[in-house]
Amino acid sequence: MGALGFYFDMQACIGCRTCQIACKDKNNLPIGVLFREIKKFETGVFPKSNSYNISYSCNHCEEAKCVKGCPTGAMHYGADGTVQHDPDLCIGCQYCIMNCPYSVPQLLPERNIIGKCDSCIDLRNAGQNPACVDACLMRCLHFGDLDELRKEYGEELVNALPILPSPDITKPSLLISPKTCALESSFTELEV
Amino acid sequence: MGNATLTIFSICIQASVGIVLFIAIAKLLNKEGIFKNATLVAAGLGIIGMLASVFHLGQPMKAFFALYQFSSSLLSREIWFTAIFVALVVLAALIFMLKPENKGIITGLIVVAALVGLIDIGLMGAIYSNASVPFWQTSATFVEFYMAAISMGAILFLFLSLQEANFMKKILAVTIAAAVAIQIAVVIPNLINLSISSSMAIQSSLVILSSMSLAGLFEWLFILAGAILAVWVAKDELSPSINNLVLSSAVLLLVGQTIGRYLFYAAMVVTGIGIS
Ligand code: SF4
Repeated sequence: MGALGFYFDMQACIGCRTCQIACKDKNNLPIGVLFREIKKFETGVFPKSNSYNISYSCNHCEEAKCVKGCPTGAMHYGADGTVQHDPDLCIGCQYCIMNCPYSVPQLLPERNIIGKCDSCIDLRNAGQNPACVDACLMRCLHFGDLDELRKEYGEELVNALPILPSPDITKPSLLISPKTCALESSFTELEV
Repeated sequence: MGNATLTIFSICIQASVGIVLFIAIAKLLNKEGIFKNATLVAAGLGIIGMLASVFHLGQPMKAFFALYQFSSSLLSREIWFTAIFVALVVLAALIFMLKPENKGIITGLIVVAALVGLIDIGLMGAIYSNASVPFWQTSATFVEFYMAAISMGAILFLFLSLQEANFMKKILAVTIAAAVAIQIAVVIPNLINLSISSSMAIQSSLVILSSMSLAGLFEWLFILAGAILAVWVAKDELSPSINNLVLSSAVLLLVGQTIGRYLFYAAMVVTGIGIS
């Protein structure tokens, strides 16, 4: 069995942000805090330009820097190997925010602790999918055993892209079916 | 608030470690030396630093949870070492006030505290250079921390122990000049090096720094002026006017290093999606 993680089909994503909203709703997040986010990038120069979206959240890395650095053990591996966060142990030192190369942990200003995607472990324990997975109109997101996901969606999946930090840093449990333009090293983030 | 508390924490602890280091050296060179004021101020700075680090937390009441992960977390280790360092110096200060005749115990505590403090500064450097902030991921982070500790510690020790430390005046002045020279020789070329980096996070850090370039200018002016003044006063015999110059040098070095540290934290840009 491989690690558990998200699969994202970039080729099908239309950037509608339904996953982002579903996550925000499920986790009851305040303004300015997102556990899943969509970013849009452009490559090339008009009239030969292309664009792509990425939907990202915690990658539940195999060698998570947030887990290693956390001084209290609040950030830890759950029984299924996903990265979980114990709010009772969190002292709000924000070292995980400095450590995560994907800028995933977020400060929850009203609680003075941090929060992040827990891969909807409550829903998964009840046999359901994470909220973002079920919300996606285009069925771009899936969560599960990465070996199984690779078998199902093909061997061409990647976890390294020019817009992402090197996977060597934390070994992210992430599979992406990329658009060709997302492999180009020069890109610009589009504000939408 | 975040950058201010971290600045107060690291400057106070490093200044305290620096003072303790020079008390330890002075005690080894002059067994009769007391250095009471320096010990008390080092303890005070240690306490202020610890309090600043606690109030930096979102949940200060749970601060002791940070001691749980010594085996895996650099931050936990650093907090252990800071706590032990401050405890040793405070204990030495308390013995000074309550049982000053126990000179041997005080010297022992100070020497151990100096060693613990030096390791602690290394851990502080490691915390930041291991974070996902490319601007901090250079040896300049360690150099800046150690040289700040040495320059601030030496001048504060001299000011707080003017009579007793008179025999070390020249050594202290040369040490301050060398520490500042090393800091400049490493930090400035490092900034130039970073400016040609293709990392977007580093470029973003440099944009932040250039928007605060006046503060950067004052940082180096104050540090340089403080070091020059320290060397200048070392050639003359003690007098009230010399004492004022030592105080001025201490203020300049302290303010310069504090501005520099604030800029260090302000330049924090973590990598992320589209920012490598
Ligand atoms: S903010 Fe909380 S989860 Fe993050 S490193 Fe600190 S204690 Fe751990």
